[in-house]
This record gives sequence, structure tokens and C-alpha cells, in this order.
Amino acid sequence: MSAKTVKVTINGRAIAVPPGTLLTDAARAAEVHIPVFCSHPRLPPLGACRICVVEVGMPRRDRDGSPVLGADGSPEIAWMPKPQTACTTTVADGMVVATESPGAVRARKGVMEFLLVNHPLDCPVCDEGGECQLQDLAFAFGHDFSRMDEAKRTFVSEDLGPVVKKEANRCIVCMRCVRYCDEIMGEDALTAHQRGVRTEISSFDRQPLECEQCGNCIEVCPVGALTALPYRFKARPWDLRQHVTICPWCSNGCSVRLGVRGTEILRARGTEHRGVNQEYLCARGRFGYSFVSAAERLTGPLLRLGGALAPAGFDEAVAFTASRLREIAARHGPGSIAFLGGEKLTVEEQYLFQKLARTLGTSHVDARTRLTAPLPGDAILKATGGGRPALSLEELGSAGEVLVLGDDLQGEGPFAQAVLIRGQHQNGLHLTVAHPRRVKLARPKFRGEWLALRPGGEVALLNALARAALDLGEPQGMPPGVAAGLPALRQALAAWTPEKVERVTGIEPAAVAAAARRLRETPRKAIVFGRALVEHPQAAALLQAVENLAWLTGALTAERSFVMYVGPHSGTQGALDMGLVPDRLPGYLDPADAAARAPFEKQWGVALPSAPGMTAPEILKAAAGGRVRALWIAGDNWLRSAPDRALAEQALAGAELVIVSELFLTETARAAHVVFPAVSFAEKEGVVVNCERRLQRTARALSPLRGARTDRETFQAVARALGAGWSYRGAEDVYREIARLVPGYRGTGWGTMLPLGPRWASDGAAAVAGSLAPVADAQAGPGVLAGDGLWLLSGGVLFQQGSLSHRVELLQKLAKGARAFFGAGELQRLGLAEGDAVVLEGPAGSLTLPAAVDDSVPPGAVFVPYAYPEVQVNRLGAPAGAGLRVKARRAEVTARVGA
Amino acid sequence: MIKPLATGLAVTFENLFKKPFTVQYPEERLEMFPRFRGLHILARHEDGLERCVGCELCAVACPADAIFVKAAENDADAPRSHGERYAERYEINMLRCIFCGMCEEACPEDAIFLEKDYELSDYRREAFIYTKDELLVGPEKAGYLPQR
Repeated sequence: MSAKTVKVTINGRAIAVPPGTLLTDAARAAEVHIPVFCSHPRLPPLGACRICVVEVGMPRRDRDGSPVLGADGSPEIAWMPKPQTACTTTVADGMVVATESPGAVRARKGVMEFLLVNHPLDCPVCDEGGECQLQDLAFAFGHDFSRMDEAKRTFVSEDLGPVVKKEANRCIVCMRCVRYCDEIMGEDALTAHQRGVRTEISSFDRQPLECEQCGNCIEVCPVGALTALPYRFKARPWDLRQHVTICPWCSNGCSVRLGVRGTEILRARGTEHRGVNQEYLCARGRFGYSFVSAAERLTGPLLRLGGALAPAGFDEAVAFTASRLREIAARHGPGSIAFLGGEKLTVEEQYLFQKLARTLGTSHVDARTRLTAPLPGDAILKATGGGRPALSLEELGSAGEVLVLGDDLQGEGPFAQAVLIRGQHQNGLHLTVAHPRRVKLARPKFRGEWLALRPGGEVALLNALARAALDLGEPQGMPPGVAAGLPALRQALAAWTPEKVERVTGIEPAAVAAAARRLRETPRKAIVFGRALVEHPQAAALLQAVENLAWLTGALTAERSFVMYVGPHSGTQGALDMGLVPDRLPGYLDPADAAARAPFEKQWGVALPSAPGMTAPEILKAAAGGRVRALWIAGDNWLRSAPDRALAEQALAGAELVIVSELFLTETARAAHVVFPAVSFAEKEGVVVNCERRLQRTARALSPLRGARTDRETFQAVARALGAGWSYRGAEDVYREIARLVPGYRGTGWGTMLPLGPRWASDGAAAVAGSLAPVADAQAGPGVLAGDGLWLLSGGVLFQQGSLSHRVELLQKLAKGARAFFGAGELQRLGLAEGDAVVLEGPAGSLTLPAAVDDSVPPGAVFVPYAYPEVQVNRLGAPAGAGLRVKARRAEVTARVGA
Repeated sequence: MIKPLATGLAVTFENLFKKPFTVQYPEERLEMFPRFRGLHILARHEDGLERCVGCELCAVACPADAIFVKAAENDADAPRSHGERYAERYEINMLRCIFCGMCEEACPEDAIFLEKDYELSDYRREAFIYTKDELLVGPEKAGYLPQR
């Protein structure tokens, strides 16, 4: 492509920039500083604050179009009569810009004087003081005195909910907060009341904000009009040591800048110009750091020697663990030991965890503890393109059509949701959301279609979409190995007639056909799926169905993948990559293949088992049945994450040895024989892999809590006590071994891997060959649909994420209590009112919760977010086939206290 | 030879009859000059509220890094200072302090002054970390501002 550029001269410096560039960006390229307030790189130009005024001129031309030359022979410049705002003016060929001419300087001083007319001089008490753009620019460009004797206009300061403090007196009405809230958050929570000098930013009804509480309005505010209540008066910016690390709350892998004073994290902010997210953070990332300094953190190993857990020394706990593991392996064989969890660890720790397991001789290692059915370890990689260069979040935002399958991104990947909403407003992105509930992205205000999927209809919908895509013509761009499966698939899909699909999914055939057509015909497309498919009882079939759809619509091609898996934890992708699955070695290598095993056997000095081990749901059953005697659970509250709590309790009670590595004494840790205290994300270094397979290194912002050890140290100490000669001095040593052995990670260096690190892709051919294969729906019979009771819909929510969020007071407050959500009609049918206690009865147990109305929940279903501390959804029983059905009834008042 | 000797002895005799400069410390004490820089005080407004708002400009101006301030929000019903913010902790390490007066110069609220007290001695190092209780003037000195 021939790069077309235009020539601009800024302060005498001539530069060439692409046409359409804004003057502010051109000036940055010419290394000329133009101050801005309202202009923001992620928001369209507005020109509200006028501080960026510059003088702009064009060469004067005479009638025949040739430039008029001045006395000295240089072109004569026709200056515009008034200064122009650089943030809204685009460049033109030959344009001349002056930012330091007397006219421009006078105009800027004038604007600054006006901005300061009503701005209070309360910098000493303002939290923005020290990092305030108005303060900086007033210092640089303003007068050192004020001509204003009049009283300043004043507003009353307000708390806009639990995180935003508004001091409207300081506001310069740049509208950044309002625009960010609309364009990127899609919340429309803020607005400007009144006009002119009386303009005031607030919520529409001047009530506390009922929004995502992301605090991005605070982040983009150039002055101290919006400040964070949790950080209020805690410190000054110069007090804080800033550490850029990776947020632990989901798989998007946002960079977060932790501000540390002494030994305490006082705030978390976005990184402005770094990371996948730049300034964006969600409520969890921005306000969810306080668990790091929670008083209940474990500060030493605990050992159950007699009846109760008692504090023990680290060496004692390690020796005990090693001797018991050795004993059990000798008595019952290494196959009686299983390793679970690890989705919250760094890549190095994950690698060592499975290395420890495999060195012991067991392949029963699985990080995917929430699985309800066995799933091959490479199934997710295969569905997302088998290691082909993956879809990035940036590409996701500039896609034309995005299919979001089964997950509420608000809870599972808030940044991915923000990317999609920004794409909606700025790139014309169109959404297709297949979800039983009308989640945020499926709301009518977004340009897109909601496929109101009936629970249990997931396979049917994917098959119907594949069939409709196939009806539009022969798919293109498939490698020959994949195309070979086409005839069989075509034949199998013929059974999915539109009528049958409508019966099963409840979605009109026309909507399915239109969605398939959009996905197939839009040039830039993407498919996003998450845990809803992976933790589905028919996960293996669903992932194959996603892959079929992707090949047929062109979301997967021989070169690229436009399919993204947004996993539940920061280390979900890393756990898969590092072989925390029973049937794959690190790098998705097959342990049955002696050639693939050989480098690991050579490096580790042991013979590796070639047979695959048990997956997490199989381990659960085997442990409950007494066939697994020892369990090591790392960073996972298994009693809550296992699909069936009764079985998990039985397993923990029956096991001879349960080792738990945790930050807190969780329910699972209480049932353990050995508890190792782990350290949080802010206290260790390591690499994490996000949903776009980007390797990013976390930084150590705090020294580890006294007594706590990183999981790396614990694993190494136990391995050494077991006789393995591990001698890693730090995470970097471990990573060096990974970079030597693991395909895809080869050649990457730890030292250069900061936030926004490289994205791994398999070298050359795909790591896992793709395929097209017919997918049968085990549950499509009429029996399932006619079943009795309500479908239990569970899912992630924004303010609750698990055992860590339970220790963050603010998130608990934002999440409000746990409730069971019904559609208004359903609640009425049940004879219940909002707030009534309702009993949900599943096949294995029951749960009592207050009922609440949520119109996003479809009839015939109840939505119970699983992450609340008081909700143990897995008590109801394990989902079978398509999901779980529960019966709801009013809770009986069994006893009355008092009169 | 006689002349220089006489001149010298004249100075001696002259000084014999002068009042001595020596001050019999601690019985006698000199009055310090108005701009002498000794131990700091934290001043109060006329209404008895603290002048300090905990902005930390003194701490950032301090070349010896001797000042630690931790701010907090005022209880609206029982405020400690004017406005929303006050210094919850205010500490000066007098072993680090070089008595340069930059804190006083930086203070936007006229809250901190270097006063006349120079008698800073103790047996323990910790005792030299002057806390807010020790620095803040008593309520009887509300409204007092040193002359400069």
C-alpha cells in the first residue's frame, strides 16, 4: 500500500503524517507539546475545553492556484483569523501551525484564565493534587495571579455511590467522564445537568450511581472533580511507589499500576499508555486489591498431626508432606495421588506443579476443577485454532461481527466487554449474543441481535448456525485435513432442520439464518466463548461445534484464528499451555508419543507416564470412591469449584492426605492435612498468559507476607525432599526451562517480557490439527425440554469472583447479598414476592435464598450467581446432560422467635 | 616596642571592665532572633482548629526527608481542621531535620513554623521522632502565629 501523507509544518518543523490525523497527534509526532484536557486517545474529538488552541495557516494561493510568494521568496501564509482547537482540526497539505506564537500563547493564557475562574484553590486538600493536569498546565501556561474578585460559583459535593466522590466545583466540563461512560462502558450513568457556567456532572437522577462502578470516570478526569472514595486522602502521588503488574481477576490480563506506600497497596490504576487495557480497569481490578493485606491471610504452614490444624514450621510441613506422599505412592502406587487446581498461578508455578506431579509418576493432574464432564486437554486450543495466531483484543474491537456464545462477559471478562462496546460506538461492530439471559451486551441499546437461547439448546444452536452457514455456499480457506470432514458433517447437519432447532432452542429459524449470514459474510468476524461451554456437561461436543462453525464461517482459516476463549481465571490459558491437564504435557504434547516425551524425560531425569491420567471430574469420583488417596489442591477452593459438593466433601473426608496451597483458610483448606501459605499476585514475579495468549510478566510490588512462601518455593522444597534435584533460584530460572522445552514459548525471554509482552503462536504448523466432525446432541430429545422444574442458570457476576473477592469489603458491599433471580412472571407464578426466602431443591440438596426480580432471566429458569460466599450452587447436585433443573418453593417459616 | 604593648594591654584593660558576653546557661537564656529556626510547631486557627490540612507539601519539600504525614477525612460533626482533610499522623524526625525551614516556606496553610526552642536532647533515638501531639500547640495558643 502506498502510504499517502500530507506535509505539515509545526513550529517550523516539517513532518509528513497520514491525512485525517488530528493536529494534536501530528504535534506529538513532531515532538511539539500541545496541552489537552478534553481530548482523549480512546474518545472521539470534542473540543470542549479549548486549551489546545493554536494558530493555523495555509499557504495563500492566487487565482490560478499557485502559491503566492512573499518578499523573501517563501510562500506567504494566510493565517486563520482566530486560533483553532488542535484536538479537532485535521491536517491539510501545506498547513502551518504555530503553538508558541504570541497570538497562540495569549489565547492559551486566556483559556487558562477562564478555566480557573471558578476552579477552587483547594489543591492542598484535593486528592488529584500532584498529578493534576490542570495544576500542571496552570503552572506551565497560566498567569501567576487572578484578576477575578467575584465570588466563585459553588456546588455541593456528592458521593456518587460507594466509589466515586464528586466535587463539581473543580470540574472544567471536559465531558471525558460522560463520554467514557457512554462510549466504552456502555453504562450512560453520568450526564451534564444545566448549561454554561452552571453545568454540573452527575447521575441522571442525582442518586448514587447504579453502574458497573468501574471508576474509569475517575481515571479519565483531568482534574479532581471525580476522585476515588476508597483512596480518599490516603496518600499523595509522590508518596507512592508505582508497580506495573497484571491484574489477577480475569483472563483479559489488564495491566494495573499499584500504588504502594510502605507495605500497603493504596490504589490501583490503569497504565495510560501501556498494556492491553491502557487506562481501563473494571471494579474488581481497580478496587479489589485489599485482599492482599487482609488480616486473615495465612502466615505459616498448618499441619494436622492430631485432630486439629496447628501451626508448623515450613521445613516440618515440607518433610511431613514429602514423607506422606512417598508412603502413599509406595503403598497404593503413584496413581493414587492427584493434583488439582492451579488456574490462579503463574506459568512458572503451573509448570512446576505438573512437573512435581509427573515426577511423582502420576498423570492425574487437572487445573480445570469446574469441569462437569471429561474434556481433552487440547480441546480448547483446537477450538480456538490449534495454535494459529490468535485473535487479539484490539482486533476484537475492530471486528465487524462478533458472536458471543453463552457467557456474560460483564462477569467473565469485563475488559472484553468494554472492547466490544467501544467497537460498537467507534467501529460499527455488530453483536450476536447467544445467551439464555438478556445480559448487558444483549440489551437493545447495543447494535446487535440477542439469540434467546433456551438452556439445553447450546448444541442445537451451534449445529443450526453451522447448517445455515453451509447453506450459504462452500466454505473457503480450510486446510485439506479439515475439509475432508465436510461431507460427513454436511450429512449430519441435514438432520438439524429449522423446525427441530426452533423446538429445542426456542429461537426463530430466520434469526439463526441471519446470524449465520452475518458471521459468514462480514469480512472481519470473531467468535468469543467462555466457561459456559467449557463447563457444560456436553463440553467436548460444544467445543467441536464451535470449531465446525468457525471453519464454516471463516472465523478459522489455515492462517489465522478469530476465535477467543475467555477463561475464568488469570492463569486459565497458562494452565492449559503448561500441561495442567491429565492428557497433555506442557505445550500440548502428547505423552503417548515417545519423541515428545523425550526432552522432558531428559531434562527432568525421570521416566514419564505415557498413559493419560484422570480429568478433574473423574478425579472427583475416584477420590470420593477411595481410589485417590492423596490430593494436592493449589489455589482452588475445591469444595466450591467441584461440580458436586457432596462428592467433594466425601473425597476430602476420605483422603489420607490433602495438601492445600492457599492465601486464606478456605473451606477446602480447613479440611486439609497440610496447608501451605501462598502469596498473592502483588508479592511475586512470574508470567501470566491472557485470553489472547499474550505472555505478560507480573512485577513484585510488595515483599511477601512474613511466613508466606510462593508456590514455586513450596513445590521446589517438596520436590527436593522427595529427592528431585530441583535448584531454581527464581521464577526466571523456571521460565528459562519452559522457554527451552515448551513449543510456542521457545525463544521468549523473561527479561523483556513486561506488560504487553509477545503473543505465542505455534511455530509453523498448528500445534493441534483442526477438524470438522458431526456433533450429536445427547440431550435433544423431547424428554429434556418437557422436564420438570426450573432451569438453574448460574454464572459469573462483576462484583464477585470467588474466595479472593470474599475478602474484599468493597466488592462485598457492591455485590449486595446473594439472591435468586427470577423473571417477574415466573415469580408471580410461584406465588412469591421480591425478598421472600425461596428454597431451590436440586437432585442432591437445597439452597435457601431471597428471591429477586430480574427481567433478564427467561421464564422457566432461575439465575443464581455462584460466586457469593453464602451460595454453594454445587450443593444442589451435579448438572447432568444439558444442565441442572431445580424446584423452587417458598421457604416455610418453621420457628418464630419472640412474640 | 612600648607602644604596641600599651595598645594591646589597653584592649585587655578595656575588656576587664566590660560586661561579659558569656551566658550562664541554663540559668540564663538568650532571646532568639525572630527568624531563628528551632523546633517546629503546628499552629491553630483562632477557633482552635488545626491549621494543618495534611497536604504533605512540607514532606515533599523537606530536603532531609524528615517529615511523615498521613492524612484522613474530617468527621463533619467534630472536625479537626477547616475543610475535609486533616493530618491523622504528623511526624518529624529531628535527627534528620536540618532546620532549613523549607517546610515552613512550602506550607500553604501557615500551619508549620520553626520556633525558638533549641533544647533537643534525649537518651533514646525514638524520642526524636516528634509526633503530632508534641508539635501541635495547645488550645491556649489558638490563633498564635510567630512574627517573621
